[in-house]
Amino acid sequence: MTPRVRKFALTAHVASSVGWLGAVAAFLALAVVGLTSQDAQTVRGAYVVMEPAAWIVLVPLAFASLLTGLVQSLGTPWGLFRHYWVLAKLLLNVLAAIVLLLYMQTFGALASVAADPSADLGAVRNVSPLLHAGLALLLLLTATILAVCKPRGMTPYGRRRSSGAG
Amino acid sequence: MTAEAEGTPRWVKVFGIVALVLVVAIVVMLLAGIGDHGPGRHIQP
Repeated sequence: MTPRVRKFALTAHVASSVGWLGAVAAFLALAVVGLTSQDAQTVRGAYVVMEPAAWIVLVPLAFASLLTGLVQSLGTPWGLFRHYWVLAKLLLNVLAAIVLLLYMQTFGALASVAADPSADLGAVRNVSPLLHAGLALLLLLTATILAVCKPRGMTPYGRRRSSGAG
Repeated sequence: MTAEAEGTPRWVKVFGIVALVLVVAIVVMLLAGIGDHGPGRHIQP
């Protein structure tokens, strides 16, 4: 990659990854509102808006982060499997994206209950989004710390490649 | 290359142990029914 393309790719990766983190923080806030608000319309609205907001923001940012991360690692000397921190970030990103896709069905079910006027408010409130958003936030924060600190350590594959090149 | 440089770094071992503990905890919770993940559980009968 040329320096200009590399900077663009890095900016895209940082923007999508940190954007994903921020979006999850917003979902955590929505989950808290859904559990604690005393206003019935606000509670129902919080759960109804989660599904479309996740499709429009969370899912695209998750895959943008994964895709730009792959470009960033494969297009630079860091590689994808050479350094433990890159490998750890890849595993965290893939895990978070898979859980998010699986959780979309739950978002849909929560929205259906919230949109049903006959459903009791107690049945609408659900602790699940709070738990999932909290864990996702921890996971993405871990990935961010790894990206900033870049702790040393090469995988056996990376060591072989490194000694072969040297 | 020193033996230390060839070994797996401590942070990777800690990271792996924490990840393993979390995965086991989640699997145990799912098997115990604490984290019933079917979306149907959110729908009233």
